[in-house]
Amino acid sequence: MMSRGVLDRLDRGARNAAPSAVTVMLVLLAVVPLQIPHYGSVAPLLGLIGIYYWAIHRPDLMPFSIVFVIGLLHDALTGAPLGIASFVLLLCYWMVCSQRRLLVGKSFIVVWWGFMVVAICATALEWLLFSILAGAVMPIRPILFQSLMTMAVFPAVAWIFIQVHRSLPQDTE
Amino acid sequence: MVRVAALRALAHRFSFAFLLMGAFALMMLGKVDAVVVDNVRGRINDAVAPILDAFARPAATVSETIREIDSLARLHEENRRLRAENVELQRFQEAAYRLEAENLSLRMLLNYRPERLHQFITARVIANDNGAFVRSLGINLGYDNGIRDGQAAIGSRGLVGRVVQTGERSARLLLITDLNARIPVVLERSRQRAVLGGDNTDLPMLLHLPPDSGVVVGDRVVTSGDGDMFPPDLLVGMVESIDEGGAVRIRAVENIGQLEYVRIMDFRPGSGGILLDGMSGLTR
Repeated sequence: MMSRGVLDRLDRGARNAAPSAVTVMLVLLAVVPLQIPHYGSVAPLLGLIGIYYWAIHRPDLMPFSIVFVIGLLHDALTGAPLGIASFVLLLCYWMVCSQRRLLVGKSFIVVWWGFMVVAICATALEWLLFSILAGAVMPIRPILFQSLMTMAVFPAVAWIFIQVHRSLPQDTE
Repeated sequence: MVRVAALRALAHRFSFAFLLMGAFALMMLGKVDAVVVDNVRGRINDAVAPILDAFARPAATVSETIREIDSLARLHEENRRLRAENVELQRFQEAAYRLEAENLSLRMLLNYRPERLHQFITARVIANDNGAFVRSLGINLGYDNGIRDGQAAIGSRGLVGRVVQTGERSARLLLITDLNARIPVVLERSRQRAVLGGDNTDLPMLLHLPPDSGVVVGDRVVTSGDGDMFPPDLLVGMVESIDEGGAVRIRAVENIGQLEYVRIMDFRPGSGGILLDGMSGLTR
């Protein structure tokens, strides 16, 4: 009886950690060299998709501290000034959390539209912070491509999250 | 119960503000004290380097397989082309050996102090930068393997970038196409000096080139060795285009988007020569 309780708790803990773990994994996967020409400049912000999805569906499993760490990891891996992605992701996460009632339980298309708005805001903010830190106006084209690419891969990545979501224990709230 | 929930909500909100400020402070700190932030970055990269290394291997295998299949289809044609190229190269090799020997004897006559010898460490590319504003690569070797900040990174034929941040077991290269890359170069034919400046496109620009430099498309661009950043005469690329405004763009000799391995070059005092001492990639 006792061991079953422990196992049960372990299982529950592992499942509850899955949203953050999968998002971190995607951030890592996003920088793996794929030997595709020009891929680097248009690579999607996979972390943002994770943040968005879990902000809508299970914000209890994605605390702010994890969002911060995901951003830090992203910046460290991509060579961007540390803090930019954390800042952008935290703000996006907070924004989506506050508007979550508009999006939860809506059709996939609505959620996707919502994500497009978030992606545009996120890349624009990223561009602004980069420009301020560099003290020069950064070219706009790369972030345009990046936000388009991020919007385009959203369904595929969201599908992964939906599979993870189904395996989660019910919300305790 | 209600009070606990209210406290929790407060803590939640507080942690958001705290972390947001933390992120902002990190950005500012990176501006003020880059060393501390680079240290943090190095530690993070070190921690995830084994995971990235594990991911990079199958990714490399897959792309290798695709390339193999691709080349199988054009085997016959490729073979003929390579045979012709080989004949050509043998002629060049002959000339290179002759020139090298002549060079060596002339140096001896002049009592020329030889250039520093370069030593290579080969590293695997484990992370390709995906940021919209930075062009860099992560490699799987770091300080423990002899990698130091400032060392030149070259592919199979020419310059790729420079080590800008070293962790214990991983390091980051700033590519020559990055916005912040500035490399002293010289046009091989005219010996005209210039600075190669990246702008995050695939074709970096030649800066500070006088208008009457006589540069033509196809000119080879090599490092000048000025400022001791890079060893001299490393091939960087060829002039790709010259527009009416005089902007000269270079195509890097390396296919920077598809590097699997890079060689990190170390400066060591020693004997010169690029062919006879067997240190170059050509004879090895």
